[in-house]
Amino acid sequence: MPECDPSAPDPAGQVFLVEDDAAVRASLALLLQLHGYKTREFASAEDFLVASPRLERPACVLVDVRLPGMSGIALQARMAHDRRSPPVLLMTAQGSEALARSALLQGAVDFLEKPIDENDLLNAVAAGLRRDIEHITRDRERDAVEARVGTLTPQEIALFEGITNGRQAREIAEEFGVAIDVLEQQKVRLMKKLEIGRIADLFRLRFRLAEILASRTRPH
Amino acid sequence: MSAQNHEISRLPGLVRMTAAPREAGSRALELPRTGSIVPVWVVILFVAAYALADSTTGLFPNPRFGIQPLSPHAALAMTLMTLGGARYAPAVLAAVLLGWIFPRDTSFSLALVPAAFAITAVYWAAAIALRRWARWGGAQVRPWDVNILLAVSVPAALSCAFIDALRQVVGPAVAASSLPLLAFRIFVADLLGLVVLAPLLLQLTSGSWVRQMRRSWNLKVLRDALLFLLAVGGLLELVFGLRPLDEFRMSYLLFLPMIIVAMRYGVLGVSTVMPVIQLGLLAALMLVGTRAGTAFEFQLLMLTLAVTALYLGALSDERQRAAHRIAEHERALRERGLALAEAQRLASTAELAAALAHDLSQPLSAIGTYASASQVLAARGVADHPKLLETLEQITKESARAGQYLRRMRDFFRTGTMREEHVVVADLIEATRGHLQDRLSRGGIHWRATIDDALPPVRVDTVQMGAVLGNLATNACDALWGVRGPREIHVRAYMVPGTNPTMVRVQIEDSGPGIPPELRERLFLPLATTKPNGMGLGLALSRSIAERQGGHLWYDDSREHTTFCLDLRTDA
Repeated sequence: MPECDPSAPDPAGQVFLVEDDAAVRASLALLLQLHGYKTREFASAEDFLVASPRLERPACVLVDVRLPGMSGIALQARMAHDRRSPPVLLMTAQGSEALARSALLQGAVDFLEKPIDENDLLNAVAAGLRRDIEHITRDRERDAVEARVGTLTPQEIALFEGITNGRQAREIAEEFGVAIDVLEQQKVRLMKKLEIGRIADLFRLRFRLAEILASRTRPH
Repeated sequence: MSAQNHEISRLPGLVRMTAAPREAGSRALELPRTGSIVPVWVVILFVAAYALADSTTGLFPNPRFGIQPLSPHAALAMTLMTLGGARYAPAVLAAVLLGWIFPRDTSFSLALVPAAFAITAVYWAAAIALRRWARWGGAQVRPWDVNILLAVSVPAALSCAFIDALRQVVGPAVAASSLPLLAFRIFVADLLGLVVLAPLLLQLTSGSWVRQMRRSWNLKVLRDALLFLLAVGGLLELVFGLRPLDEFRMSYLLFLPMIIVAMRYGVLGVSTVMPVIQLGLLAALMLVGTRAGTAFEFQLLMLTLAVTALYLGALSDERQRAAHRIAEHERALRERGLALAEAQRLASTAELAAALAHDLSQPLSAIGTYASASQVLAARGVADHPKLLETLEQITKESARAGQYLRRMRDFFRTGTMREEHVVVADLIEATRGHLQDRLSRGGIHWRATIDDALPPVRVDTVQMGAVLGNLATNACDALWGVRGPREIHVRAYMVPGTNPTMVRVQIEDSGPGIPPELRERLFLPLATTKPNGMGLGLALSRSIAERQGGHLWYDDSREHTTFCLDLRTDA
């Protein structure tokens, strides 16, 4: 994943606030709105989890560590299991380094200590949104690729593999036991199915597919 | 080596400490060959007393034998040997011989020597047993020691009596046929002497009598001693004055003063007073004159009296020691309780500091964020000014909230001095609800209060009891968090029937899932919690606050839902 560029313009998106203290929640919402973010407020982790499947994206979640019921850490751990959930920013009243480290290792974007500095907050939110946008784009692309590849017949997959492995058309035709012009027709149909115009794109797709397969066995 | 000795000799306590186990060990493993050194004058006194004791025999004229009702011989000899060990065997031997030869003009014959040796050996064996298994010289005499005294005395007196009777039968004055009766009479007299005199002699010579007397001496003891003498004198007069009527049948009355002494002064009192009673009886018998049969009855009476009183005294001592131990134990418990309370206070101080940090960081955080927002708003221009004003107002409100936290904390640390006042329970409960309003509405919790009319005001420290109630209600809120179905906290206040002064019970019940049974027993111990981030005062602290103000706090097991009861004191 490429590093986020801090100088890049602030991305647009939603910020979900999970905080039991009404004043803290309202003040954060106000400040973030003034900086152009949409916000939604939740008083508990449970409330957030109920609403989360229907929430708009891109987004990031600003979670207080200390919450009644399910704690912020527990919420973050739970969200870390779902690769499609938005990035989490944790806030805490008592800065605990160990807590922060374990949260970051579990995939939290940042760990903010109360009282929260405005710049830290905005940077963390921007970074979180950028990461979510990246995730969403990648997920979409991946979905599209998977969908297209899913329509291929076994013979087309073999052809796709043969071409991208750099073998000659004649060689493949011999192996398939078809004439070379039949093979050429099959190749055109394959590229049409995969919505690819150039042979070079076929190689790129193969590369992405390998990447996706790798990321599937090793999430994050 | 010499340096070590030097070191040790400068530390007498250490010497005692290191020497004591060795002594104890040698006592347990081998027979004590040497006892302590007894002053010469004491030895002489013993020997003289032993030798002259027989001369009193003549005071009780007996048609058949010159027997005295109480013979101090065995007691004297056994005390000396118990105290000094085998090295005083020659003195005892001499005393035995002198006792036979002098008073009755018995001429010395060689036959007396083996008899005297045998009797000395018996005394010695008895003394060894007494030393080994009983502790008569110590500060505490147990019923066990009385057991041992009796268990040693009976065979010793029996043996001596048999030897003595045999000696007399061998002589010309006594017929051989009277040996069993003679031996029996000597046995009873010796046994009586042992039971009556040995306790006192043993305690006197070991110094424990003086030590204990010095410790318990006061005017009350003197008064009791005088009362005792009067009572015994009066009773003796009664018993013997009425002799023509009832043949001393009222002698059992002498048990009464003895029992009182035993209960009040224990073995020390019994062993001191016993010889007095016995001497009184003897004197009365001497004055009135008696038949041999009556004298024997009296011997048995005195023996029973002595044994009963000794056991009573030992039991009373033991009871007193037990009471003392219990008192000590209770004091230790109380001290530990205080230490625990202090530890709890400290622990909760740390917890409170963390809670304060958390509480304060919330309004501070809100203030900081609102201030940042204000800057943005201010930069935007006039159109946004109403919003800016609103934000600034929020800042003011939040700083007031921070101040409130600080004040609450300051109030809490004012726990050392309690400010008890008369408070209406309904107000206390309403204040608790007010503090929790935010939590209640957020958690969708219904607060129901059932407060009886005409409750007397309770006498509590409002701040502290408010903290306790707040803690209980907060626990209830936490228990209801995320509960499906009815979420209700029901607070009841009513008079506890049959209490004087009247107690008012505040009962807090929540419709939550309840407390796991394994936690119920530990509920009030520090560090017991079901909450992952256990905040607040904790039930342990709440209970100690409640109890310090004369109330109680407990978990009501009998109810279906989690119910805590808080009893509060009133003046009614």
